[in-house]
Amino acid sequence: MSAAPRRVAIVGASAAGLAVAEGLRDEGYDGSVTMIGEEARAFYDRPPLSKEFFDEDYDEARISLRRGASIEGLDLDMRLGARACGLDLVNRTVALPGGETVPWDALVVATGVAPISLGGGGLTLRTIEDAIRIGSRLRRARRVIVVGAGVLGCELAALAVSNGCETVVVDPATGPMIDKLGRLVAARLARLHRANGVELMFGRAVARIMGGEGEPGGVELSGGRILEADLVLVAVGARPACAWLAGGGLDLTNGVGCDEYCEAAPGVYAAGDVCNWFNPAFGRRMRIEHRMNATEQGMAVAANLMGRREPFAPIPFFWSDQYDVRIHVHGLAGADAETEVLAGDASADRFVLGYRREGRIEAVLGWNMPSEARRMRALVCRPDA
Amino acid sequence: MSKIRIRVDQVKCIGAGQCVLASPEVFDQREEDGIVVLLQEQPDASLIPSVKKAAKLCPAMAILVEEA
Repeated sequence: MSAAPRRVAIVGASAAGLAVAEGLRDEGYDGSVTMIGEEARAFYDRPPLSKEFFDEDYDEARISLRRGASIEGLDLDMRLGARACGLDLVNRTVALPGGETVPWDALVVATGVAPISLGGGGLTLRTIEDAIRIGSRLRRARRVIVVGAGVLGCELAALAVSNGCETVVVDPATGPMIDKLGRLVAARLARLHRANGVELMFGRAVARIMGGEGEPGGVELSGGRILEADLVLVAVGARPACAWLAGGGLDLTNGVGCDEYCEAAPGVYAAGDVCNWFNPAFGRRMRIEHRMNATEQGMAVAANLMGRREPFAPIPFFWSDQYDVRIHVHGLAGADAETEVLAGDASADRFVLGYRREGRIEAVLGWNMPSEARRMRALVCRPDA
Repeated sequence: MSKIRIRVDQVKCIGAGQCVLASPEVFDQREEDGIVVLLQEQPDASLIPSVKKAAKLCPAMAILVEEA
């Protein structure tokens, strides 16, 4: 972009959208910022939702991304409870329900992802309302089935069993978080969950979530076996929330397709979970559903909106808390990488694991070893490491 | 903002270490659990941009930067 825009519209009022708005104001942008959010509440933090209990009386400040005064200082034109429903790249507008359109010189898509629902009586988690619903049901539940053993499913299982619920995890994979973290860590996580009383059923696909009208709750496995439960939590992944952009001319193959500047079309950017961009540090496209990426990518988009034109080349980071174990991952781990122990002992309480692809370390994982993992992050994507 | 005061919340901190990467003069981590250690509460003005970046990046929002 040759000149800084005067009207910026940001669709998505969560971590990524906020980082864009703050970044713009920090860079001295004094034009208008319209912030469009589907939920009634904006700017709250999502990672705690799968790690703690929430009820109607939860402490709002506990999950607020910023204090009120700092939000007011951003001078945003807020449109909350408004689900954007269309993009016009020619006239450069976003359509809102009821026929209103929001004009822009620059647009940022930061609509995140929506959890995949399997129907029936299963509950999914994305919003604070979801967390409150799950929290109130968990308190009363005796037996809980968690469908899906990814990060979210593992954390929800830990939350349920810590609440005294009989907890079963079902997943067609062979171990917890195995796609993301590989066999060694999956085996450690499986031991950890079993030691804490969770029943793990791997290699089993769920055919159907029960609990429709007049039906007991539970799941039906493929093959017909029925597992009953008072509560079924579904954590089988999420899809980029970009259906509203269909027909607008953007590449929506897996999220909003962007270049290394997070730009999808002239003046149109994406940030956060919804953005599929080319990361030069790894030399390939990726879409990252991590809390920190939302902020980091939002900051990068703001800089590029102001004409900085810097490729976004981060080393992604995420963490997960399960019982007394805290896992930190810098980079892109995965079942397809070769693993090697870089520090500690992989059968003991603390270790750092490296993940290597094509001779290069692409991730380090700390198992209760955060400081060492952070130091070893320097090895990630270094040609000689 | 020419002078700042930093506060860290060691309960919220999850030991990501992003603050140490962004501003090593101001932040460190406890070796055993990675929890943040503040090296300077009121750093020099030249460090303010890196401190603000650390506060923004912190995935646990455990860093508060105020005008001093």
